[in-house]
Amino acid sequence: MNLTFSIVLFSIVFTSVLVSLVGNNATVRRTYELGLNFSMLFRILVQKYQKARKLKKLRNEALFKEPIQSDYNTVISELNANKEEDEIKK
Amino acid sequence: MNIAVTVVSVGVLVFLAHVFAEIFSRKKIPDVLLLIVVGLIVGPLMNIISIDDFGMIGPVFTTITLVTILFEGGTELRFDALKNSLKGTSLLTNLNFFVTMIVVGLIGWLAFDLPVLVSLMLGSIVGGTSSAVVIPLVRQLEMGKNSKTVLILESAFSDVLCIVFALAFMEAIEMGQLNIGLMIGNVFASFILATLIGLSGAFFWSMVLHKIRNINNSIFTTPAFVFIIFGISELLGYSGAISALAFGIGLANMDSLASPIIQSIIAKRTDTLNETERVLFSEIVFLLKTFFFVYIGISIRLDDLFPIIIGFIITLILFVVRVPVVRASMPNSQDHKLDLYYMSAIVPKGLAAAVLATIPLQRGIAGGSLS
Repeated sequence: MNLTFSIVLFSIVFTSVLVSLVGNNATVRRTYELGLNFSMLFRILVQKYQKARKLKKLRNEALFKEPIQSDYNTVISELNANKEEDEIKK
Repeated sequence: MNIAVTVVSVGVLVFLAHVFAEIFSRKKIPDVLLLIVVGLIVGPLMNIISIDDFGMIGPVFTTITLVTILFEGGTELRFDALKNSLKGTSLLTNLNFFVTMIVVGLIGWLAFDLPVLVSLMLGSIVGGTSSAVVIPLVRQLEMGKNSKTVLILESAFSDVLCIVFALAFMEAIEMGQLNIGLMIGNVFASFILATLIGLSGAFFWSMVLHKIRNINNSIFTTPAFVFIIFGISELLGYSGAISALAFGIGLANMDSLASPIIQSIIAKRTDTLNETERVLFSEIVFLLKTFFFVYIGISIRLDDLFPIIIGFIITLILFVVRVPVVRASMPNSQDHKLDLYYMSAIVPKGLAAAVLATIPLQRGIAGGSLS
């Protein structure tokens, strides 16, 4: 109970003080601007990270498909070549 | 305490409140803070008066204050402003509530070794903002209309989240399991049905208002009807606060609500508040607000330093967390930068938190004495 009451008290005190400082003090305004921009920066970074991850995933998928196809073709051609060699030997 | 001294103190307090309001408009030092300081001085610091002197009157007085402030705040809101700010409100309210709940929950769990559910209960108790502080404060600030509406609605809506989630966590602690579906259902039921009760009341009252005005000394019947609406809503298990707010909004916007078709069906004239009533209610709110904040100051206990220090640290963290919450909820606009600063700075906790904090101890929940 005391903890909640103290949070109630300090939240009202902080609100009151900050509201008057936002109205009067340029430093506090700058701090808030920085905080909001930092949050914005964070949001942009998250978006960039998500975009990069998506791109990487797409690239990996593309790469993943190509090697398999190429490997498959190589293996098949090698197998065919081996078969032909065996037949010639026979 | 001498009765004559008490009466003189009440008179002095009203004059002081006007002085503080003037200081706020000139120096931007909120009157709310100065009133709390007066309460702290006459209460815990000088022991002239204590919270026990109010007895049962205290909680009744705080509830009446809350209902009146919400109703009067609602009468200032217009539908067009509401429509514009509803998206921002719901995002800000939910994000702020859940982030606060999780942050405080983590602090309680990791720092105080409280059980997870008890920590989350503590988080949900302090997750909202106080209408009684927010409404008078934003009215005196130079902010955009939409931003003011967002903050007022957030303060009203978050109370519901606080009450429903805190009570659900208390039940979960007692029963040993958490029912999330029931919790979400309760939130929706409380919101929608409380709003319907408030709006129906407003519709009915607007139809009889012009007849009521013919009765002598009937100006106080409107707040009296708000108390009835609040009581009915609470008795039915919904949010009385939301009903009171919806009643105020409904009454002020009856011209938009009661379309000509509806009016022709019921064949009755709907009415709204006139200028005299508005002025009177505004005066009542000023008086109630004055005594409410002094009462808050008196009710604070300074005998144990540990919860005060922890409360200070948690509050500090909540104010830091509020900045990204506001950033994420509100659109980025160069024109309303000052509004965003104010929105980040306005996170007062109030009545809902104070009332909910007393319940865990009454129910004998472990950790309840700390919360």
